[in-house]
Amino acid sequence: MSGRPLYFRAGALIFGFAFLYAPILLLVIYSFNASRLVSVWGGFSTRWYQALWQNEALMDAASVSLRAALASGVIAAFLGTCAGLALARFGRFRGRAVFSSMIFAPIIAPEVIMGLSLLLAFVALDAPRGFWTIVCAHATAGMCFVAVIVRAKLESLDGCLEEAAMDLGAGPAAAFARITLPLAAPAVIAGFLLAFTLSLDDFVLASFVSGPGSTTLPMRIYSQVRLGVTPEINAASSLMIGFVAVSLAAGALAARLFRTR
Amino acid sequence: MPPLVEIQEVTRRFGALAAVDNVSLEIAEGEFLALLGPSGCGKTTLMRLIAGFGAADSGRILIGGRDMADVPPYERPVNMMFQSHALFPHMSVESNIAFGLARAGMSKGDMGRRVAEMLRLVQMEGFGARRPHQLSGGQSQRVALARALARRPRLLLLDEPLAALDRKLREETQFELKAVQRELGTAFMLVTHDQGEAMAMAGRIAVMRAGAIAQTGSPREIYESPASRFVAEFVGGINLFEAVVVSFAGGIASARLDGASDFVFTARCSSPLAAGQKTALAVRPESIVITRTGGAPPAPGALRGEVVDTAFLGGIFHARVKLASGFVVLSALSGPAAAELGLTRGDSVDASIGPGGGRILAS
Ligand SMILES: Nc1ncnc2c1ncn2[C@@H]1O[C@H](COP(=O)(O)OP(=O)(O)OP(=O)(O)O)[C@@H](O)[C@H]1O
Ligand SMILES: [Mg+2]
Repeated sequence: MSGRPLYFRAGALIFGFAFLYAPILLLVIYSFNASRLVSVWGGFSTRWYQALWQNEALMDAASVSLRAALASGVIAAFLGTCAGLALARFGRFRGRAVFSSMIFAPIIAPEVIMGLSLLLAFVALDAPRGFWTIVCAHATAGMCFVAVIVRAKLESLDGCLEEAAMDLGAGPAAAFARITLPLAAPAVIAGFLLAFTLSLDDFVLASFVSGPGSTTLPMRIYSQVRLGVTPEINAASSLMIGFVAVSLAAGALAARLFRTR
Repeated sequence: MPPLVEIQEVTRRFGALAAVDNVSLEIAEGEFLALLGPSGCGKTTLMRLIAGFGAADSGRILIGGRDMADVPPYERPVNMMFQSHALFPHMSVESNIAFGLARAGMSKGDMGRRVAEMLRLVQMEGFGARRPHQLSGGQSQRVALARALARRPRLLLLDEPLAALDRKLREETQFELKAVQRELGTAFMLVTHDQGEAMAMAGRIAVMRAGAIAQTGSPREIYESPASRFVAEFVGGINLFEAVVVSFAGGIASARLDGASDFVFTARCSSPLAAGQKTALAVRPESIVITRTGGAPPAPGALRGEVVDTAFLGGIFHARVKLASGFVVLSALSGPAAAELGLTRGDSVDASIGPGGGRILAS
């Protein structure tokens, strides 16, 4: 390791993390502020969380966000797993490299452009914009991440395992269900949680493809913030951060539980 | 009894390369066959064809008299032990062994008994609950063997099963594998590129070269009567003298050594040769007899040379003798014989071929 003194390394670490997390921490602290004024500390209180509970617009948005994240996570996990399998198993064919890097395009492409192109597609298809167009957009973005994770996992597995299963009397379907799928499961779960989190977080795609009556929490927060930051918004944001943190931790835990080496 | 497996003129191509080239081979019920050949000669490809992974481009494979062309791997009465062992990492040792039994629809009770029996067979009792990553290389190799044998296949295919083990463990395991094979009476086909392993284990060896079978026979036949230069060189140490055929009649050939115009050697040769044809005289190192020169010219049938190197290898002693022609002959002597001769570098010696020790090769 490097020969730098310990306090230097510790200092760099603390500074880096402070840079990342101090604003978030500030937001969480102010969500427990008793005062109505955002920048003045008026003592500890959970009143904004109660107010949040009664704020129907925010609660509706939260419900839309959660349901969209769940639905798009499931769809992304399914489609991404299929894509990952195909990429890992198809062997070599002409244009394989192009194909496998194409899966990264939605990850790299600017979200604005993805949002715009999805909107154009929905308009062309004459799809009524609303909850399902949001789910569809998020599933599209999420499946790329799932595909990349699942493919990496499958490629790290011994390719002989499925053949060994077949050699022992398992047909292709049984070999897949009993060997490939269980071994890929941690990657699928991790991919699902990532897609779920991305959907909860997303603002840009949702603003492009949502319609009247389907506003996600980030969209609602953004529109309210333009009228001024309220402690209620702080509370809503803190809850969202909590959700995301929990789902990421669940992903790490799932990976650990299923660890097979 | 008809052979268990009949491979009839099978060819398998990858693009322009014939990885298996017009191979015909039979495997008898209960026999231990080694498929021996250098890396890349098509051993794995041939074995996978028998197991059902990949289809032959031409030719037929029959198992128990039945054409296997349309039989998928999961319905063939053969099992395979993979070189990487391919144990299922998410299952215990027991579940790994039971996997094939469950697919065959065996009852829980029978399955438990069979798993216990297999664990005993490979001396792995008490390891049933472990996961594959908790096993050493030798242990996982045993589990892979138990798993492949659990379904009582008629033929077990083993692809270099011992390659991952260190030398000592490999030698022990060779004898254990042989014992297991004898106990069960299952036919084994062992793929290896290690001639020592093939000789130690197999009842019959098929030597493969560039997709084709070069020779089949007992380890003794392969060693003592190699059919070609390739087999002679691949199996064991060998001295190959370039020679020209003088005469051939009734299965006996005479050949004159290159660079020693008066040295004519006569030996049995399986395939006919024409006079004047170029050939090679193959002599195993242990058939080279060395005597000290007493100042007199060499006796007929002996060639004079100088010891250029000696090596003591425990039970045997190797001496390299440089002949007048420049050719260096390797001679293997037993320990006591070497002690009596007391050879050292620079000694002048006569080398000759012991009785029955040379072979004139057809190709
Ligand atoms: N799937 C494949 N596609 C193309 N060529 C292949 C394929 N599998 C094998 N080959 C080629 O066929 C030849 C025989 O391969 P094979 O694996 O049977 O050799 P082997 O005798 O088992 O060698 P080793 O001792 O190194 O395992 C090699 O030249 C190899 O490159
Ligand atoms: Mg091989």
